[in-house]
Order: sequence, then C-alpha cells, then structure tokens
Amino acid sequence: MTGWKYFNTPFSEPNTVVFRVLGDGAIESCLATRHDVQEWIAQGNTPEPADE
Amino acid sequence: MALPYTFATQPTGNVPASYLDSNFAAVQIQGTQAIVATGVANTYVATPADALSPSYAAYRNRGFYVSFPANNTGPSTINFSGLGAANIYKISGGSATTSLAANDIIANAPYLLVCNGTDFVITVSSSSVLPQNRLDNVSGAVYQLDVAATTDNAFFADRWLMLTQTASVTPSVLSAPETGYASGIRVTQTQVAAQRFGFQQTVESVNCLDLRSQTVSFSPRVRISNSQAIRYAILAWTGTADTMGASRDTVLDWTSSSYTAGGFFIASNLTVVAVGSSTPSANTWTTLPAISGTCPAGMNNLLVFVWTEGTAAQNVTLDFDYMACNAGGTPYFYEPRPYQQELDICSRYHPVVPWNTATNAGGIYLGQAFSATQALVQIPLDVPSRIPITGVTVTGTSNMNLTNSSGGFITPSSIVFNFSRIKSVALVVIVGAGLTAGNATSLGVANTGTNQKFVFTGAEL
Repeated sequence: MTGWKYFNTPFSEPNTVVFRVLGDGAIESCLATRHDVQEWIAQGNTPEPADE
Repeated sequence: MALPYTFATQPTGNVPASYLDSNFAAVQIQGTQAIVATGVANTYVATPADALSPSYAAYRNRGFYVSFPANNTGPSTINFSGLGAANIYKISGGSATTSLAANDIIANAPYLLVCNGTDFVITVSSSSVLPQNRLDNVSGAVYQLDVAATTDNAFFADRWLMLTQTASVTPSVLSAPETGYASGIRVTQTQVAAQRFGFQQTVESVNCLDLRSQTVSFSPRVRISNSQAIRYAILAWTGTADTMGASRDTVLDWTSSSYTAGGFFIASNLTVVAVGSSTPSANTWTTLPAISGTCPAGMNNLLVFVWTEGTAAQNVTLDFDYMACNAGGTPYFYEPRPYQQELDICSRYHPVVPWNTATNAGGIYLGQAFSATQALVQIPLDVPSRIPITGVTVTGTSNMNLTNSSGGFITPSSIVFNFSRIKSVALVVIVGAGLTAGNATSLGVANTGTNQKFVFTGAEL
C-alpha cells in the first residue's frame, strides 16, 4: 500500500483530495479531512505533493 | 334488534318481563366481556364474570377482550369457564387457524379474541403493535462491501463494523445457515496469535432519539465453533450526533474485565446501557439471553456490540444470523425485510456501485474530458447517501473503459474522488492520453470485467 498523495483538479481547492493504491491494487481516494488521514498526518506523515 | 327495544315506545303501562330479557340478551350479544386471563405461558385460563355455558358452540363469533399474564412462546390454548382448552389461532397467510408464534401474545397487552365455535382467533395480530427492530442488515444479507481480511475499525458487511484486538480477521457470507434463516455472517479468527474480536452497529441518530430515557433490549443469535463466552452490549453515544469519528472504535482496553466506560470501553461520551455474557454450546445456534437497560437522556446514537470475551484461537469462527434490538424489555425476532428494502436502507450508509458484465450489474456513466488525460464523470446514487460522501475505493480499474471522441475505448489508469452531493458523486478518471478537452465521454465496464466496483465512503456510521 502506498502513502497518501494529493490529487488536484480544476474543480476543487488544491490539496483537499488525497489518494493511495491499496495492496490489492484498488485505488482509495477521499477528502484529506477524513479522520484516518488526519490521524496519519498527526503521526508525522505528510502526503506527497500532487502531480503538476 | 334496535335498542332500546321497548322503553321508548311503551312509556306507560306494564312492561312484560320478557321484554327485559330480550333487552339483556341483546346487550349480551352485542357486547363483549373484559377478562384478565390467568394461567401460564401458552396455557391460559379465562374466568369471565358471565360464565360461558354450555359450550363454545353457543359463542360462535362472540368477542372477548382479554389480557394475558405472560408472553406466549409458541402455540397456545385458553380455557374459558372450564369448558376445556381451546386453541388460540391467528389469521395469517390466508388461514384463520394459524398457530401462534412466540411473542404473538405480549403479557398484559389487550387483545380481542373471537370464538369460532370451537377455538378462538386473535383478530388483531400482535405483530402490528410490536416495537420495530432498530438495527439494519440483522442477518448480513446485504454484503456489498465484500471485503476479505478485515482490520480493526473497518466495515465488513453493510452497517457492521469489525473491531479486533490485534490484527485482521476474515468475514464471509453464510447462505441459509439454519432453518428459518436465509443468511448469516461468519467471522474467522485467522491469526496465529489468539485475539478478541467482535462486530458493532451504530443506529443513526434520527432513528433512535425517541429511545432517550427509554428501555431498550438486545439479543443476538450467534454460533461459535468452540463454546467460549460471548459478550454483548448496548451502548449509547452522547457526543455530537452521527459524528463518532475515531471514537467509533468503542474499545479502550480489550483485556479489561470492567465493562464500563473508561474500563473496557472508551471513557468519553459513551454510556454502557447494558452488558451480557453467555457461553453457547460449540457449533450451536443460540439466541443469547436478552439484555436491557435505560438509555441516557443525552443519547444521540444507540450502538450494539458483540464480541469474544476471551481471546479466540486461530480458526475459531463466530457467526450471527439475527440481531434483535428494540424499545422495551423484550427483544423480538421478526421476519427479515425484503432484500431490496434492506439494500436500499444500507445504501444510505454504504453506497456501492458493483460492475459485473456477467450479471449486467452497474451502469454507463457520462462525463466530460477537461484535458487530454482527465475527465470528470458523474456517478448517480440509487439511494441518496446519509451525508455527501467524501471518498471512494475503486477496484478493477483495468477492466473499465472510457470512450474517446472517435468511439474508441481507453483503459483508465486511475479513478479519484473529486466532490459529491447526496445524490451523485463526481470522479476524475485519468488515462494516459487520447481525450479531447471539452468532449463528452462515458465510463463503462469492459466485456472481460467481472469484479469492478465503487465503494463510496463517508456516509457510514
């Protein structure tokens, strides 16, 4: 499973959506405000920057 | 016979005594007697002030208001005035001689019994006045999430959250696990190291606020492979309604034998309404003894939780095929809701779009490219989600395809959540190349696809 990475689009504010690839290849994405993402950040992790 | 029979029309002169007899007979025929029955469950006794005589045949289609001293547990009889035990039937499935099921009679509730000349019929089914089950997907029939190994604090069947002590366990579906039950769920403790685990459901605030300061009861029907103690609890969340967040994991210390808030359970905003423990025989379906308690006045969400009291060894299985939780001190086991109704209810919390070409599941979703590599695609939800969903897990992306402006198909490399409302979700579909900004497109499933799905998240409880 990869770490969280930001994903930006023209339709939402920058750095509000994150995604990662799970062990089975599924792609999980969500708002960065979700509690488990926030817990992951609180543990000292930082999402990778979005692709330009 | 119209009443009064004689007095209004014969104000003067002597009234024949036979007219009075006729009046009293008319009152008796048109009226009913109120009776507090005695006896025990299933074998009741009625002693009306106006004793029935000489036989039940004389009372065909006559009604009696009766309350009973105890719930029934199955087919039941009542003995009026010593005339002998007469069956109590109900009208069901086109038959007026259907034997009673457990709890068709509730202690001290009023019923109208009508004599059919031999036996009695309860003309108002007790089931119409019983409290409803507050839980969803009580047998696990709706299994949209279809996950394999499930870690702590993760949903495994719709509406059911897995809680584990140390590592993942593996849920699976049971089909017709026992007579009278169409579906169930099995959870297998797959870890080498023994651990405790269990499953929990949170009732949405709008569906349980009426239970504040009220008695609630709970009884799970379970089967465990090795006869070890099962714990089960009714909990009340007193924090902000429907926002438990990380507190959804209600266990503070799996090793604690103090089943209190701050002991086994988390300390903040949680009230332990009732806790029970029972040890079923190995591999035997067992309805655990009911537990009940009074919900706190400040309750915002009601929860139930069932778990292994001690650690479970590797390959121990814990199954359930019904969960009864309702207002009052007696939990009732109802017929399951129709699958589609249950699916719709669950989809309020777990919107899932399965795609399977073999079963024609899924759909074709329209969108618009906004660059050569990305398109915004709208996914309508069959059932509005509880709140706007905030994420999605997409499986089988390689079996999906996006149309380009020349009618060709492009396989997405990724599909990512963007924004939502309660009736639809906007996803960004990413491809390597081949789209034309501004052109319409559609997302579908390739012919080879059998296991794609969107599991939307954020509306669960």
